[in-house]
Amino acid sequence: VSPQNDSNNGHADLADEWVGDDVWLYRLVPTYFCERGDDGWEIGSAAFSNSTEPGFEAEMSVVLGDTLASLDRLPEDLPIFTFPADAEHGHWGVAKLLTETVRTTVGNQEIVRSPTDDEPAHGDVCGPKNPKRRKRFKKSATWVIEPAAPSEAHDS
Amino acid sequence: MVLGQISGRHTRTVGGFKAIHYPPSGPARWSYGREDVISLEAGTSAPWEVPVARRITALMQLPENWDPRGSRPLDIADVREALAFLEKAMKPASPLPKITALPSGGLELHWRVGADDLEVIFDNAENERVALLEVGEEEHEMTPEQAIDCVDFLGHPRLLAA
Repeated sequence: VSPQNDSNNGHADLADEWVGDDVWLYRLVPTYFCERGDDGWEIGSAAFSNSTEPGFEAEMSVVLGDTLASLDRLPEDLPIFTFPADAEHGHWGVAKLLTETVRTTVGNQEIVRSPTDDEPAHGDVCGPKNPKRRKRFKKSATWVIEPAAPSEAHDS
Repeated sequence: MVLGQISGRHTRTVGGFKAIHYPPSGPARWSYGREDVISLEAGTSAPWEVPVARRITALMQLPENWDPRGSRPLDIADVREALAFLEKAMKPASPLPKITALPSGGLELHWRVGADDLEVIFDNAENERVALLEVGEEEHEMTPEQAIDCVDFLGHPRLLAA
């Protein structure tokens, strides 16, 4: 999910709408942030880090469930929608968290709509994500779909 | 990236500079040569060393911006600190850590044994060097040094005493 949110062409009407507590947040998780265990892929806390891209260091990209549903799209399709070139490798999974859980359990996070030309359902979870918070994110997240890849992109 | 066998050791080089050398199997020992090279040589028999070397080697192959949201390659200083921690913490029967790269270039070590959960983070770029221990519902934050003795007691009733 591109964190670019400086171009809201055509989506400005959505951008100011409050994100309700019952909205699911979908986070695309690459296998780099996971470890393969006996029971499948296990998400690492690192999957819930802020971007390192200059200007976006306080933001973590998500896809907002209510907008996604209004577009008749499924979270399961996010990897192929977002990274079509990587689809055959299956290196992306989708984790979900409830907005209420992020606000109450993780704490000190603001959830905003930041639609982009590429992803009208794009949002950001803004706020500091120290190791303790990342761990809370991880504990609150469950897979919608695990990465399909049997091993990581960089494993031999 | 080069994958080959040099002087009886398998070697991978990343970006022409950073590398971890490790034997494909058998006893090993860490050594620190050039500033940007960590080697695992024959010498001891710690069972964790080769799988850890393989994992870190794989993570070191990640290029800059391996995460489309922005990310840095693994910081060799964080790797050194993590290995130094493991050398002190790991005993022959200790469980292997899960090792994950952080977008900032840091490294996260993770163990879960039963209801016990330990994360140790080495992240110079974010100035984060911390260990998070959960024993059941209890959460404890400590320095990596304080967590050294915890690794071998994960899943053991005496963990908190350690």
